[in-house]
Amino acid sequence: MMKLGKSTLALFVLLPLLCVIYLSVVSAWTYPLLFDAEFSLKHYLVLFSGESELAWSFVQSVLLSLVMATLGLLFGFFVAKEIAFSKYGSRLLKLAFYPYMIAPVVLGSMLQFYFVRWGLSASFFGVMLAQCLFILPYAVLIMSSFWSENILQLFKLGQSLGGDAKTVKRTLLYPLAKPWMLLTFAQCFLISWFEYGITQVLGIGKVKTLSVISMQFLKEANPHPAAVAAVLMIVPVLLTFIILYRWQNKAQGNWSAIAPINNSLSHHPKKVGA
Amino acid sequence: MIEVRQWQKKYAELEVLKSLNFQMEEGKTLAVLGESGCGKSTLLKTLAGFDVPDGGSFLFNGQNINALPVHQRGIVYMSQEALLFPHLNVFDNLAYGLNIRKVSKATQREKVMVLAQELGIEDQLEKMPSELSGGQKQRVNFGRALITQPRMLLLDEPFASLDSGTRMKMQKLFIESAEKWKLSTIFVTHDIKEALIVGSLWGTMSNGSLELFESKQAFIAAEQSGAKEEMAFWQTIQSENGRKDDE
Amino acid sequence: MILGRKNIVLTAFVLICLLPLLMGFVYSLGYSLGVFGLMNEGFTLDHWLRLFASKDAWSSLIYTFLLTLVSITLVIVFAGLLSRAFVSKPERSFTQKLLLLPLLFAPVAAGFAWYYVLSPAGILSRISHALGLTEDITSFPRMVNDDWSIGILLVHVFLVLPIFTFLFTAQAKSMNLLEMNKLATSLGSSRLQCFTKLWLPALVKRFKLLIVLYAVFFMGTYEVPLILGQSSPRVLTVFISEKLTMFSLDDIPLGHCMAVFYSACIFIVLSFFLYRQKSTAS
Repeated sequence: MMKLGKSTLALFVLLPLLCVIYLSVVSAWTYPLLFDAEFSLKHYLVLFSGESELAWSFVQSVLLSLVMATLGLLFGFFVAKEIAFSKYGSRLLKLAFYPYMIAPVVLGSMLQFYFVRWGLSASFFGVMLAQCLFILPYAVLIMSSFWSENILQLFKLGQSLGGDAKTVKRTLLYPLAKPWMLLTFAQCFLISWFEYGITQVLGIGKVKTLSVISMQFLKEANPHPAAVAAVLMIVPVLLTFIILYRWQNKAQGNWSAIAPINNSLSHHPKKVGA
Repeated sequence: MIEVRQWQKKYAELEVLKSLNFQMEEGKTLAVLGESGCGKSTLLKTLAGFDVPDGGSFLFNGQNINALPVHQRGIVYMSQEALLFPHLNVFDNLAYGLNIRKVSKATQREKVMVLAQELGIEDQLEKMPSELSGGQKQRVNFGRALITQPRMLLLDEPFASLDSGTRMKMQKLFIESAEKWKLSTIFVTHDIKEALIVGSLWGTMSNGSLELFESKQAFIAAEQSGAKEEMAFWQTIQSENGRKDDE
Repeated sequence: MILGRKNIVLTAFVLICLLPLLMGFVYSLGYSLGVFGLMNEGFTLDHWLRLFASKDAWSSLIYTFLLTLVSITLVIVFAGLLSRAFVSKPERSFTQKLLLLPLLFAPVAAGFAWYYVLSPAGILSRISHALGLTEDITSFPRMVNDDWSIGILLVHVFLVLPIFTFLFTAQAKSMNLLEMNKLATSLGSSRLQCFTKLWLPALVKRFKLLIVLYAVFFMGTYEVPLILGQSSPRVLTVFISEKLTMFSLDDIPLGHCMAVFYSACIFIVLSFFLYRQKSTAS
């Protein structure tokens, strides 16, 4: 029974990945061909030919996600600190849930009037601004778990041992904050990377991130470039996870490394198709 | 001479420290006994500079310490919880104060090794804080404070969370270190026995006021120290045991 | 009054959290009441009355609600079962590592992948044909764009199951549920009773807020039903999006009505659970 369960689970998680890889290397995929279909790397080679939109989509997605991750990190780090030691801290923190919970496509639809009015729609900057609306509050939520009374005590202890504020920040605060900062950066990157709804609505299809172009290929019933787009979407995520987990293993003795990584899954940005 | 005059602290309308006055010679340990909520921790935190007092002066040989920022006071505060820096191993935790003072690596190594041997943790230097026991953590905590040669230590029930055996060892270590390093210490505790063991001066704190005693005998005799009750308790136990033996 | 740095930062935070939501809500509300918009004729409740009278709207609402309920239930049950299996295993067994794979998928990618796995001309259909189980495309059971939303449910479970499994497993270990299970058995509980009366309720109670959050996420699901859903009924987000972007100007106010209704529901549910936690704790 256990073996059957394990096999079913393995099939369940592997099938989509195998499907995507398969579709990206196959062509002339008429029914009922499966293993006797034509295999080639031509869908990948198109990426480098300069004719494909995919390469530019990939670059745009990477750029947008890196910008969002950086903004999220900076905003989350400093705002979470002020919130943590504010009288109204817990009330303020709850506000961060609201923009994060509304489906981005609905939020985008409600804000479209303003974006069109102010010339922000169909622009990279406009999409960036739109993603800020839920990524920045989310970053605050993650970083808020770093700014505890314990950190404040450690900071004061560092000072009482003779370190001025700058030295204590450099030798204590930032090293301790590293796991949280890495997590915030990675999570904000992934939210932006996965994002479709608000990008499509406010980008009006002109800002072609990988998720937007995948959907475009799907609607055109063109599974092979869509599969390549899906593979391109998966690779950076895989790299992010490998880096996070390798880093966690290195820092095993460090309590602060373990806590946020293990807790990261409860903060996973998997807004389910929202 | 260490002098604290008219030391006050209020939180909202609650007066936590009520114009405290005391003085002590350098190199002495003032053991302060008090119940929870009497203001002991607030006294230490305000003296350390973690919190700003509402009034009063804190003088070290005439120098106004209160005017100095925390990192220039040379006063180390240690709480019940041994707050070791979790990302640094024992060696780096001990050497932290020297590191930020840009002491050379060779000197750091020398001082840390000497200190580690005195504290009995010379074989723990490569370990991370999470791998240490409570007693080992407090030793590292101590060592980290001592290596900076502070002018004063403020200990806020530092051994409260330790088991009795480890606690006794730590008390002994503290007394030896205080003597060797000529430490001026305010040692806050709610344990009368501990106060009598570690102190060279004694005081009791209640409702934000501190009362100092001229001698150990005066402290023991004082109602608020609870020493008489404690002795009466052990005498009762002893006489009960004696009766049982006779039977 | 000169604002300190702290106040500026906190004000910026509050503005970012609330201002866009308020702006969007006000615009949509205004549009739904006929105050704003291309064809506005002044304040009217007609659009709202049309919404409540619309069979399409109601079926969308009920469909979304049922989809959410079934999705979250499936996730909780399967995660509970998997946590029961994983709790006594070493922390990073091969099967647990495999379970990290779905986390690599964006919802669009997952929807796309499962579409081509489950569709009548998809991979499973071709395997089935190769094995002689089906003759042609039409004889393969419909699992995408179907009445039972099998594809959507599968993808929802695929995307969210790993998160809940890891959390449930970690929590089961820290709560020592395995020992409690043994105790329950010694008191006469069957395996099923142990699972339904001890294991699952203990974990669900611990992660109540997270479950509500993910249920709200499922309510806002968009890409997955866009790819795998049927043309009617549609989920709320697709309904709203279609009304607002299709060419019928008449439908736009309806879209805004539904957007207002959806946002208000989310706001109420979230506030209830967020602020209820506080009062329970105090």
